[in-house]
Amino acid sequence: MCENALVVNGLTKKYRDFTLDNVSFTVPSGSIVGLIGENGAGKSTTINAILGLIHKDGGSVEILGQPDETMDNQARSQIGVVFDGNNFPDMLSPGKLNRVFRDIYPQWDEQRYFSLLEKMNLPAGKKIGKCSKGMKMKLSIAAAFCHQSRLLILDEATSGLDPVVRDDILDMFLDFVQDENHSILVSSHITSDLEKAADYIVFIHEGQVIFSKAKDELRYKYGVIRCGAAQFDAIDKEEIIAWRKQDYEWEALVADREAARRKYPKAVIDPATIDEIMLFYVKGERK
Amino acid sequence: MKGLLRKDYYLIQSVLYIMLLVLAVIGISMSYLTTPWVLTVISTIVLGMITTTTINIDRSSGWRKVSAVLPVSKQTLIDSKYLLYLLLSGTGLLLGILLGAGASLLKTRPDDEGVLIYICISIALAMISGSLTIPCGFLLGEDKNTLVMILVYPLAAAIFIAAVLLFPNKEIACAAVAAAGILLFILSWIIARRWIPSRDLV
Repeated sequence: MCENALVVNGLTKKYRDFTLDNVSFTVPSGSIVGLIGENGAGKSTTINAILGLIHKDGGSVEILGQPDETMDNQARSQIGVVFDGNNFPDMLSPGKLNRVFRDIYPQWDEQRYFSLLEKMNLPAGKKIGKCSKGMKMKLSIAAAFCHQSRLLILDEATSGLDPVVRDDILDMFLDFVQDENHSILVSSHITSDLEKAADYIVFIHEGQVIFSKAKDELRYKYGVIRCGAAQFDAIDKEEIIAWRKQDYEWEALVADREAARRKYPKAVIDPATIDEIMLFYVKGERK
Repeated sequence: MKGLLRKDYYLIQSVLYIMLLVLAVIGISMSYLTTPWVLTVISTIVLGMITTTTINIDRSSGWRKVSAVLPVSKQTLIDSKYLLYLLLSGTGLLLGILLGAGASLLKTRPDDEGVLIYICISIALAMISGSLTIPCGFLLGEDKNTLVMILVYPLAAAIFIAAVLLFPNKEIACAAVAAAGILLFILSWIIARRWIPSRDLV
């Protein structure tokens, strides 16, 4: 087993109006890594470059211990991919898809596939075009699970789905990583999903990685100071990551909530959600 | 490769049966109106064209991205479309010949004049158009592809007419264009295998 299922190092892709700039992060084996960022931040470009759908202008990608350029079909078959929206033609049915994948993947697990379809209430004979968005997404995930995948890469797999389906899908992710050889990279702008499932968070903004941290570090260490103008002026700006002026108060994001509490005992300091952290980095002012 | 062709078969399955029925009806009608051998041209082109439809469906359905991460090389993805085109065009040609022969036999005066010329026309049109529509299907958007489809057949016909005007013997002219078409198709296949994988897919 390799230590990291995915290593992205200095990944660069230049377009006329956008640059994915020197993106680096890892997906440790046995973990779920959430790739977050606003729309257009570079999440899909990162995933497309990792998967070789677009050619990178710089950097390197190592998947399951192999450089992406030299990956053979055997290694490729261990990567399960789910894209946002449609993945399969509408004319196919889950049953026909089974026959297609049986001929493509050497390790296709037909029994597991049909048991997953049953578990997810997906009729094998129903045309994909007649399935709901949630059913289509579940089908894509079921297919990604059934060829002995060790690494799942999902691009906005939960967007546009209702909370119940999203919750089912997140449970499937958590089941998948029970095996420590399995890992997931999932991009999403629904941070609450990642708050539930992810072990690490990689935040991309304007094509650059702003931070790559353990989720628990963000949840248990980061905090938001809420205070008035006078109190805000008294705060040492070196200790603040970013701040925002709201209607009636000032909000400041700090990396060490407990240290801030000790230093400013009168201030209200709340734990920061991933959403808030993202907003501070994107919309807040920084020194 | 087998899985990719199977997927394409499922895509065209419903269309294929209807098309075969339509071709049979047209074939019978044609045999009374004009020479039944014209059906070889129609069936070869119509069945071959379905390949471009599958490329467009792959794009619009998201399969194109999925197929790029399957454990098959990008060259195999391209090969599968060229092979599908050959299979469908070949089936169309064979079907055209069979229907033409059947219709010809049903006529009071069997009509086997020009059968070789019609076969050459079928091969030439199918190969010339395929050599352009397949790579364009991979490289261009759906709108531009439709434009290519509209333009490619008149272009192939123009090459044919030019050849007939150049060569005094009609049979030789037809055979030469058919041979050139096959050569162009092979060339297109080789270039597509090398060039298309180096392009961004999205």
